[in-house]
Amino acid sequence: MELIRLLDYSLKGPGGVAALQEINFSLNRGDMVSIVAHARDDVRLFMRGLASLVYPTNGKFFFQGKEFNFSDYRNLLPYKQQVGYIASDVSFISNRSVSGNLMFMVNYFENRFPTTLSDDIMKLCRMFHLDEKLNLRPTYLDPENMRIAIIIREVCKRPDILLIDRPKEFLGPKSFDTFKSVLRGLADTGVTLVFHALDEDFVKEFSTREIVIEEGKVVSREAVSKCSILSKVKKGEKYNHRNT
Amino acid sequence: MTGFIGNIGRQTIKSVDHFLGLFAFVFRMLALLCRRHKEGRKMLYRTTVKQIYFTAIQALPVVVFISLVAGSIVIIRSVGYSELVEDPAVLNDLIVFTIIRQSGPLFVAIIVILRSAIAITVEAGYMTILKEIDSIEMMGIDPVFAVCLPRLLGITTAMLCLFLVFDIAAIFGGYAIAWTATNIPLDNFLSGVGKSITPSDIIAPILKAIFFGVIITANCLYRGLNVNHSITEIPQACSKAAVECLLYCMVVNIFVSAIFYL
Repeated sequence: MELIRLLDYSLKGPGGVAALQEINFSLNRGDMVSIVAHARDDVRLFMRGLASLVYPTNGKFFFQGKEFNFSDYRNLLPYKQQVGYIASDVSFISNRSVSGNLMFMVNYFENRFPTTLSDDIMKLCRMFHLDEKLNLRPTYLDPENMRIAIIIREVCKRPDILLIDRPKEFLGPKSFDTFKSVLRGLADTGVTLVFHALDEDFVKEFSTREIVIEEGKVVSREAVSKCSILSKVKKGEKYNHRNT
Repeated sequence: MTGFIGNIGRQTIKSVDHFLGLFAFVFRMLALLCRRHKEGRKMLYRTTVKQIYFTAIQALPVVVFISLVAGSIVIIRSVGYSELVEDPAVLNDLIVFTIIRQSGPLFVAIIVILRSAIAITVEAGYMTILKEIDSIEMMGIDPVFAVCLPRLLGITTAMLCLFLVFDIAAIFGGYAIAWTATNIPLDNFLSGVGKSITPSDIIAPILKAIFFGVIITANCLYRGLNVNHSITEIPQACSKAAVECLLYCMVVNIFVSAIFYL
């Protein structure tokens, strides 16, 4: 099932410079797409475009067959809710504690203010050793823990699409393996993944398709690797966060 | 000459753009206020209560102090002239005019601008620059609902409460100070002031409080949320927001007073 289709989609970079031009790109449910580009800015802009954080100068954006109307940001909110965005330009709300941030969506969408985090969030917090820092304000966290908290928030959204920009550099090597095991679990659930990574093993393990951004154009390459995750999933193997 | 005219034109377009954006923003907040929301009700309620606490409760000492000073000065000066005026009702009218109609609303507006308006401009500016607004949007939540609406409700409610506190403290406190600290005759003072208060003196301050609350919140949030590029824009946004709030409040004060009292 097609999730996203971009038609002649153009985006302007910072300063209004035309950066990505007339992109044609489609993303199916369960796809795992690796982005390759010489210019890092292009990747970042493409990711922000997919997250609908930047609006196109022209072109069309279809999500599940419906075209987005970018004239009002509120039209995009239901889509954004289904997108997990893990990148260096994501942040926490600074006047809430880490747990307050992790419960923000529960507070809003479920109209309740639980005193403890849900089991799945707590499980991830324990995996990443963040469980003792939940009452701190985000500014008291060191950068790595802050990024971990962002990952937990985005993963716990249960997104349909997960956008990840350079996970190893984002997290640091210490938590990277834990993150990979979390990602294996997500892949098991059939999440759609778009990422840019420099780590070859990560690309090999998690990508089914590769796209290349060259001089502002997106070129989709044929499958470059056999995705180990998908092949295992097809065989019926189940993944467990703790075992992997 | 062409450059000068061009500059005027650019400034005019910029101002018109600013006002249109500001009105659209106010409209969006008011439209959200009129709608019944399934989601975010508790969050709205909690944040509004917090905002009332920050704007009204924490400002009480300052408001009470200023109202006592202003009230006692006005009362002592007015009553001091009582021998020169034949009809004491004129002096009571003067006290009501000075405290309830004019100085009360403006003093409260200035205090709220200094304490809360600048704070919310800085907060909104930082939230924009640090991508916190983007993060709220990425959760599928409308930042206008989660960030702006509680501040609008909180500050407007706080304005109403502070108006009331200011008027009561200025008249009763001013009376008490004048009674204890001077030998000025204050016979029938409170009943005289009470008789001078008309229904307009109740409706007009309520309207002023609502207008001031909306103007201050909307203008400051709008300035804060329009900070785009760097953190150094935040102080500029603050100073612009504070000056504009004061200016708009004075204009609205004159406008409402003119409707009710002219």
